[in-house]
Amino acid sequence: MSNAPMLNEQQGRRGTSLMWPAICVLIGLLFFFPILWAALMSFKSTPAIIAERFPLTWKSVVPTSPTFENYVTLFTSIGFGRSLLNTMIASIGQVSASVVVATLAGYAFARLPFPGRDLLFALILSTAFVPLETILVPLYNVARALGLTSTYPALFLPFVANPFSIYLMRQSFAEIPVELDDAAHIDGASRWRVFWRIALPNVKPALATLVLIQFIWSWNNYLWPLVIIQNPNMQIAQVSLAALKSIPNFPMDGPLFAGATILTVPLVLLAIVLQRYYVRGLMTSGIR
Amino acid sequence: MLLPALAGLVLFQFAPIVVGLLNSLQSFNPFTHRASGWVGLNNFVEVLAEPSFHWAVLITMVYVVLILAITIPLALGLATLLNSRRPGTTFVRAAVLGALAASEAVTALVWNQMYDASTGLLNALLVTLHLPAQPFLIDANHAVVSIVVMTVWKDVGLAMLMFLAGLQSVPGSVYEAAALDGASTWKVFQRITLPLLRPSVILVMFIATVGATRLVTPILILTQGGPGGSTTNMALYSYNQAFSFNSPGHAAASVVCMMLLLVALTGGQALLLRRRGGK
Amino acid sequence: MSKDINNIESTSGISRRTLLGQMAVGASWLAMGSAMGWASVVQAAPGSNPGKYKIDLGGYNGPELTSEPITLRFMRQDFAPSVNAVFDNAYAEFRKAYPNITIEEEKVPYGDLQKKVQVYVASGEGPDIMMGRNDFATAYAAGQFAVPLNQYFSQEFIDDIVDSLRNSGSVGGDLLCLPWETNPVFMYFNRDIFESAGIETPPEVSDITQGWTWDQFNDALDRLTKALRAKGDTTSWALAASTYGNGGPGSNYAQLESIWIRSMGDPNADKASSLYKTFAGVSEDGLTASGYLDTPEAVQGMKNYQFLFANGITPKGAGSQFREGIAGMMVGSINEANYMTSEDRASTPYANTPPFKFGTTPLPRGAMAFSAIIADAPFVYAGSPHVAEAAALLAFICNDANRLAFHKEWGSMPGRKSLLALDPRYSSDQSYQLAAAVAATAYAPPQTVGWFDYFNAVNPAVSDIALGADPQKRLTNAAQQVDGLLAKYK
Repeated sequence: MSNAPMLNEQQGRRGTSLMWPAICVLIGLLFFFPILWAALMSFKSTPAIIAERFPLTWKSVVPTSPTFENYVTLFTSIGFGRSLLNTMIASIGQVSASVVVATLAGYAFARLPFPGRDLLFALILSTAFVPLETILVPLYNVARALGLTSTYPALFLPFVANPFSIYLMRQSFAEIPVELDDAAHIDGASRWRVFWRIALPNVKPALATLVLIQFIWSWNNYLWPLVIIQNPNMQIAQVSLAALKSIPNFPMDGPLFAGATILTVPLVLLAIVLQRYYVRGLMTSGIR
Repeated sequence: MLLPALAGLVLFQFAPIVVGLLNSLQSFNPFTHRASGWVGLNNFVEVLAEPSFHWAVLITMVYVVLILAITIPLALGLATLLNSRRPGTTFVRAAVLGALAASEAVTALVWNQMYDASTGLLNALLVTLHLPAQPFLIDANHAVVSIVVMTVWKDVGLAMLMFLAGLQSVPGSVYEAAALDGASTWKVFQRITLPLLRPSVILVMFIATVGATRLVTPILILTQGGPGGSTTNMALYSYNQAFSFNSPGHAAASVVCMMLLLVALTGGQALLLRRRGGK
Repeated sequence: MSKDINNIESTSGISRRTLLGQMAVGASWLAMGSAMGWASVVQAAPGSNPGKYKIDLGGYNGPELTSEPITLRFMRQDFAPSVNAVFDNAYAEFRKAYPNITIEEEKVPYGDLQKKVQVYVASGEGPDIMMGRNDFATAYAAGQFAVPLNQYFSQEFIDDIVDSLRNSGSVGGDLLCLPWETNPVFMYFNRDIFESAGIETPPEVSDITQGWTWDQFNDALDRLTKALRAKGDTTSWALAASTYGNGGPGSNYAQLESIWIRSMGDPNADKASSLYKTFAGVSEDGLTASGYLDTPEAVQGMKNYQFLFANGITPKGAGSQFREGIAGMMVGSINEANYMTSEDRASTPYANTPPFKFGTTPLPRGAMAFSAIIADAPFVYAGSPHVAEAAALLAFICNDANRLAFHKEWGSMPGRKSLLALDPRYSSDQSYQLAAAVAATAYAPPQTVGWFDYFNAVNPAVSDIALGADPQKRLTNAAQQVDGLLAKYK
């Protein structure tokens, strides 16, 4: 195409239409590569991983004799199923609770005028400034005082009221034209009805974002579950995997990659399911 | 409506933070980590006198600047490109979100292997292409960049999501009108998309700034703060004071300093963006 | 077999009383016959007292356990599944005897153990037994959160612990944690790699003063590296990456960097001398590292260390090159020999790597032959509401039968003399004799209550030096940092 003396519009279009998938594949592979690699490694036995790791050849990446043994080991002798279930319980708890909390709070900050609103909002945002690592001990003491140690709610309650989520929802509600509310009010709708029928349908993309982000955050929690859960039957998968990684003189690379893959797949699937909310025209908008 | 949020915040955010503030004014038994008396601003004086803390402040800013400078244009670019139904976009979207969703375990396993100086994948690639091998995690400057690259890889999806959600609020009719006027893609982006995305940009700036300042796990995974403490930021400094050096007082004081820095950074951003927006 | 017992007499200088004890245990063991398995040791011994309680509680001699329903919690690191099974079997046996006592185990990633201990202690509530380390005994004493075990264990049992381990786990005569195994370190070499490169192998002796000097070691490994590369071998290393550090760039030996530093000193030199200070690592009052950690001798030690990285002798990252058969030497403990000689290598993670012949030699020496002793050592938490029961459970886990089952699966070296005497290899095989000799002569870490801070500050310094930092500047800087950190213990 480069040797075409003159590009009319039709040819230019075809040029980009060929370029486009190539760019997509390239960007996609760049981002996908680490995950893909972990997934491929999970089908190699640990001895094969170790023996073929170095020097680097195609064998270091591709399973030469694919096996499911890592997955079997993970679920039989390591009991990964239980910790995976715990992770799911914690994540579902965190996602559902935080979506409700952030949506309500976000709407209140966007639409309900009350004294000290901006100050309160700034104060809430400031809690985002402190990393969990640095308030671990005081937070642990709060949770212990509430009798939460080694309970499922302990895994997610501290993260339910999250400043980022509240900010995100406030922003999304604020972007809905006030005229929509007013029109509904004139029709005699209650505030609750306005929230439910007018506001919520208009923030679907933000809600999808919220669900996904909260799911990812809760799914990848490590330090907090490590500290607050003492009963091994309630420990989450991330901590179990880390424990597996630290067994001295007995590398468990195969099961580790298998566990890492299992932990990644549901999130990627969720992301793919939710992405229809971001694509123009694929969602039914509340604004008509 | 606010009650559940406030209850959660007071219990699990404000209470521990207030305890942290109070901790910064106390001395501690280094063995049991229990408070042993009020010492005024002593912890602050000691922390601020530490050269390694000065470095941590500087490196915190470096992370913030680098991460913002890469994340925002990249996320904006990705979001605009992906906000269409062209073929291939589904794959890219899934890939970027996949990185965001990748578990810490995957991240640590894979990136450490890629960056390893002697046996790593990246250096193997460079050598195959007859380029010099790079000291990715070994040299101070390389290490900072390596951490930033991994962080952006992992988190750019978050910013992209925010922008995508924001793009939904741009009415399609605006574009149709612009297309009829024969405006170029770049002009449309500059004149129409960007101004309409301003709230999203503010949100993403805020989240990215806070995230970059709070960065701990990627540093721990890749360099543990080395070499020579060159990748240790304020958050990791504080973490080390608490868990490696038995100094909860110093840890709390450095967190308070970090909070002040964040107030300044985000406040400054808000002022700047508001003024620009006011024009 | 009686020859082995005679060998004990001739090769080690243990007291006559201990020796008699060992012979008694050894004899009872021989009478049983090895085919009956470890669990059948029934004769009274320091770590076994069947009949005294409902179950063999080993060295425990406290009150009979409660009949109230209670829960005991034990926090430890995770092991391979086969080792975890040893614990599960032991708990099942314990529950049969004491159905009222529930045992809950908490398995924590090894690197997070100390963090969890800190959080528990700070909150004032935690598991009844927590995994600690013998080198933290001074902190356990100063913080008063570990129960002195002397009240609950027989003196005979405590005396049975290898002396260097017992001493490092004790403060003022109180045993604060129970070193349940020992990991004396020495050097392994891959005979095949050395021979095919035509480099002389190191002396295979069990006398720790007869190994290579640092100069000989560095010189031999340098020549080995050059020989390997000359053959076009770019994958093998003369020295494997450390398996002791925290991974990450700048392979390091965690608390064992003292091998390079403190071996350049001399404990018998004049106390004001640089040699003595290098050995001590910290001032007499335990509060100053400047002038101790950064002496000219210590700097030379770190230059020896840096030489290995600067000349491509050892990788800058982590790995398990020795087991994979691509490293000439490595620093290791007896686990390695147990693994190499194990019959079921085929079921290990290294099954696909080619077999090779190995040998062992003492750690290189400077002004002295030096080794530090670090061992996992559970302690009973002083905040436990059931201190006696916790001590009893710990004693049960550490009774002869359970310990031997553990060492058999895990491959580590027993921390008690009577158990060592049961294994004939510790008196007949050079590698095992070497391990025993190192364990008998190893030194405690620098004597400071701030040891935790100390090694957390020195560890990154050693990594940095591996990556090319100036040894003099970096050690001085680390020493000053340690001084600052230790100030709070005044």
